[in-house]
Amino acid sequence: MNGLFDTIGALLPGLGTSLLLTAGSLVIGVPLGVISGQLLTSKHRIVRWPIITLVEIFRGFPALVTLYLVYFGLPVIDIVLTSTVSVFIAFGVTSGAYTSEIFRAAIRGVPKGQREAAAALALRPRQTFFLIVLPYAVRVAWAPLLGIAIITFQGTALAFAIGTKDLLGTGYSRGLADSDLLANLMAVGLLYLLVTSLLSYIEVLGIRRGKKALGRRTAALPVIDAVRMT
Amino acid sequence: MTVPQVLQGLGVTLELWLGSLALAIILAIPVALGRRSKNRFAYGFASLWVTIARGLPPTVWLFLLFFGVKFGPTATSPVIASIVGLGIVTSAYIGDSIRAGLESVEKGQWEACSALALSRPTTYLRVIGPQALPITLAATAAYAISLLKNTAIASIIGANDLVYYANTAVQLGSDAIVTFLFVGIIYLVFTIPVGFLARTIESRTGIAVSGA
Amino acid sequence: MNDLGVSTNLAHDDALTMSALRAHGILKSFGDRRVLNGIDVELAQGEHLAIIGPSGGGKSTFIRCLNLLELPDAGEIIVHGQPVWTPELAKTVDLRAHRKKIGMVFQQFNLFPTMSAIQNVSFAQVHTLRRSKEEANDRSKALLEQVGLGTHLGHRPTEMSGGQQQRVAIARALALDPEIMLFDEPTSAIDPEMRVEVLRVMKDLAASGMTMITVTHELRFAQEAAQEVIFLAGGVVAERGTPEQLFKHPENQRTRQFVNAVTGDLR
Repeated sequence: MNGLFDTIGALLPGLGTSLLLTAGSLVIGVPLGVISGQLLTSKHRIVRWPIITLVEIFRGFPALVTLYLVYFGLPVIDIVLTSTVSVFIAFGVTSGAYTSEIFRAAIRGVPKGQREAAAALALRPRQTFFLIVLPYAVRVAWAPLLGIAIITFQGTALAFAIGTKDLLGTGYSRGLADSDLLANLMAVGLLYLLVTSLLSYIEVLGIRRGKKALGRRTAALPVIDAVRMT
Repeated sequence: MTVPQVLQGLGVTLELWLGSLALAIILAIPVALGRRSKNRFAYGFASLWVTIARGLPPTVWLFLLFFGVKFGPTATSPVIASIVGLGIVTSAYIGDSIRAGLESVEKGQWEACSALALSRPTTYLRVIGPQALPITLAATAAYAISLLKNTAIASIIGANDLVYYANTAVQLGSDAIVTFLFVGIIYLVFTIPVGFLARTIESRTGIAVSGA
Repeated sequence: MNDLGVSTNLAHDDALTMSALRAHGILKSFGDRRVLNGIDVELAQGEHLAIIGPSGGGKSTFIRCLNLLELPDAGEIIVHGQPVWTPELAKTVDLRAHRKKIGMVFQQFNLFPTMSAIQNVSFAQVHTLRRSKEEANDRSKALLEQVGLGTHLGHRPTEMSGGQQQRVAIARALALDPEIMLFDEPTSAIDPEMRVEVLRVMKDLAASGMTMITVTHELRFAQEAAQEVIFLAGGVVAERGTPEQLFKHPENQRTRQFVNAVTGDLR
């Protein structure tokens, strides 16, 4: 038992790094998703199609490939980034692609009456968006967004592939040093499990309440997880 | 030349994909039945399986099976470790698709089968199954896409798939942007048709599958 | 004594009195809610019994106990002299064998959506009774003609009205040659103008001598087609009698209230 606590204690810095990577990626990804989602509601094909293309690309590429593309690819055009920043960009763009659909649905779901009321009150388009539409959309979308957060959190385990000392990386190094990879990797797994379970629980509670707001027939909760794997 | 070098990995990628998909489907059936079971042990075990399978990132599963476990074929072959690891993770999701499909069938259908004294296998295979299929298939298609993308992780533990060879090519001097874009597009070639399929089923049956 | 250790005199007695089905002391609770509080029913061969009563009074639960879609918590069910359900038999009861003898028609029809009318009617003949496909289809055709759907053999449920679907459901249940037919609010989910066709089929069936129990809100139908009526409320048989007795001279206050409320005035 003591060994377990020691191990977990030693892994906490790695967990912190992973959480930081997740947060940083989402800080980039969510706003990207909002912008893309809004653009996707446009009536003009010329606006929608480039976004659709980008979204399909970044949802279609394995996250690892996107990561390598950023980390190894950008130096080719003389942009050299640290592994951490590469993770932010790669996962930012990937999570942005996934969240774009969530926001598209949420923004479209805002009742027309809300916008009409804003117009009647002579609000400018930008004000309408940030003060009326966005808050409404976020209320509806936060639960699926949590799902994306969970995927991203699990996805950051890939950061180890480019040398980041995240949770997995820390556990692996320690395991090599101690010649006990099994125990360390299991502890890594346990920590991922705890964080994931906690976030999932909150997400499920939120989805039950948000289902009505999204207004589409959803074929049971787990199907929304179709997104859950990067 | 990037192209032939990278494509060497296509075979292994497909092997990883189809192998873990098959394993996932096989494991998913007891998971689905367990989650619908009134038996507390069956339900508990299935739920625990789902929690652990989904609670660990696929990357961690692969590391655990290849580096952590010291005996057996998963310790020696990165491909086998990846198939088992990805199979376990995906089985939880496909199990839920099967369960969702079964639950989407009206209760009255089950009762009609009981009232007509149909056997359990007949009930599942001839009456309920066909009705559960659209939802199950659509969701499974979506997960199959995710699975294909996840096979890239196998390259980290040494499986010689597409990404592995892409990395090799870059180390040998190929342009990184071109190479990785190329690899990405190969994945797109496979995932976009399956995505269309899932979305066609979605629009035909009016049920949301690709939640995002 | 027969295999079940029951005096064969019982079967003998029932055969003499031509009792098709007897249920004694049926109790059923869902969680804390006691839905059936001791129901006794006797049904003679060829008799049509109608069960009426307010929603939640236990009518559906009771009829579903009779073909063991619900399992009673206590009581016994005897069909043609053979005990089918007792608390002791509970573990060994052969549900499928029982349901071959008792057919059920549901409020929601529950036709198989991926099959045509004739396929619906043939399916269980093939898979439950192991008839050949040809034999089953012949029988299905005959039954569908009997219920007035001879021209709709290839139609899918989605292509048929509620009244048509229910008639297919009746044919489907009859296809297994049951000894007793149960109807659980067969017309409640059908638009009023289409109920007549279903009720007509049921009346013909009763007139031809089928032993039937119908849970229904159609009091006029019960009056015209049933030999005995039971008013089920609060989980007990509040009153029973012939249609004449129950509808025109109900003894129980509740019965009178119910009948008046539903029909205005049947007199």
